[in-house]
Amino acid sequence: MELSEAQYKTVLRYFYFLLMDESQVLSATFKALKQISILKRKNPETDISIAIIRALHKSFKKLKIKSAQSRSASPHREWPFSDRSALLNWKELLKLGQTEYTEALVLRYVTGFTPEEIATALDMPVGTVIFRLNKGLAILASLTAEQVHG
Amino acid sequence: MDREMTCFFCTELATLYLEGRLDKQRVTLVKAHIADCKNCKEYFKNLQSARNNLELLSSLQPPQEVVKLVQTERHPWQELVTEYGWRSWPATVRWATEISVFALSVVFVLRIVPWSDLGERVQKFRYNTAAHVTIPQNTEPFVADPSEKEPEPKPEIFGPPLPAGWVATSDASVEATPTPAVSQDKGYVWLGKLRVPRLTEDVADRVTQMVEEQGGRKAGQVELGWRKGSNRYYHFLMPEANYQQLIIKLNKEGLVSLVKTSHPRVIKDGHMRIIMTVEQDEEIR
Repeated sequence: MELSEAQYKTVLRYFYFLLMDESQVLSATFKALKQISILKRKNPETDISIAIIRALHKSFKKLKIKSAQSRSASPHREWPFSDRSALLNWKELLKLGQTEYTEALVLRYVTGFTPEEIATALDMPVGTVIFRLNKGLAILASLTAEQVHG
Repeated sequence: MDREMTCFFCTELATLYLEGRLDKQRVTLVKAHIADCKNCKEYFKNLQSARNNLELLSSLQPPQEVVKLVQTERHPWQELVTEYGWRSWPATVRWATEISVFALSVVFVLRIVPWSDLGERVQKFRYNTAAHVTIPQNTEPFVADPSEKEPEPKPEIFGPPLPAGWVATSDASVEATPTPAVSQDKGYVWLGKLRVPRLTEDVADRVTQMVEEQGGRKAGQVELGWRKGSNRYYHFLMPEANYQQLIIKLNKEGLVSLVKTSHPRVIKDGHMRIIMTVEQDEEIR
């Protein structure tokens, strides 16, 4: 399967944000890559970005996303969060849980797909994607504000 | 239609505003509202901050070695191993698990499979199959209980004196030589039984061996020592000269009793035909 290095990194980044254990990240990544190759084989005309989003969406439902409360400051040794607010955002993002808002936020801002790509891949109106982004950001912002201001 | 920009509409349009997807008219309205409304201003600020931080997180890259690992082709078995973390187990735990599985398999094979019974089961099957052999019409079937068909005159018992403690059912008189049996017109057959304290495979084999050693050969369709229910059936021809030896040897196994009976089948001179059943009699000790 021909994916660029950037696309491999995109898929890895998605799971690195949502999972804590590196073996889980690798396992989920391999499953997602397998899913992408299956999707491409079934519909060769499908854009690779659409295939990636669909595979990630399918993986998202099966993931066991745990809260970051009990963890140390750095989730992965290779990824130290030097910026405190970024670390805070990451923890609060996981507090949202396994909801459609988390998924929309991660797909849009962490992996960098556009709302149009997400809407096409998940077969929903762009307005629904925007609504979920809006709602997710609002919840995230309120949680972050609580943490910052107490 | 001109609609007043309220806080509700402003919050609903917040993401589109931040994404730059609003038309110019609405952008102007949102900007004007934010300038006037403290809460919405604070709200937009928090939203922008959250968005920026998420984008900052997206700039972080996974480790290069992990990317290389993911890029290489993987065999499905390797994926399975990675998924269940077998390789991440300590080596000692893995070895212990493998050895335990192997040991359990060996124990299972040795204990659960009935090795000791296999030989017996094969023999049982063989003999049960042999029990279904039918005797042809021309063979005289042996009468199990001689008292039901007791010939006239009184039956003669041949054999040496019985060992101490053995019970004789009739006179134990021994005649040195058997009666010359055969006439040209009329044949004879010796019908009888050998009663042993315990009828086992070994006993049956010994009786067969004794008969064969004295020149006995099967006279019917079935082999010597054929299973007939719980008894053994012997139908054979043998030289008359060896008869006494046979009786002596058979008496070592148990109590033998033979009755001479006329039969239309004529046997050639110097030979005799014997139909004998070997059965277990626990009263004989």
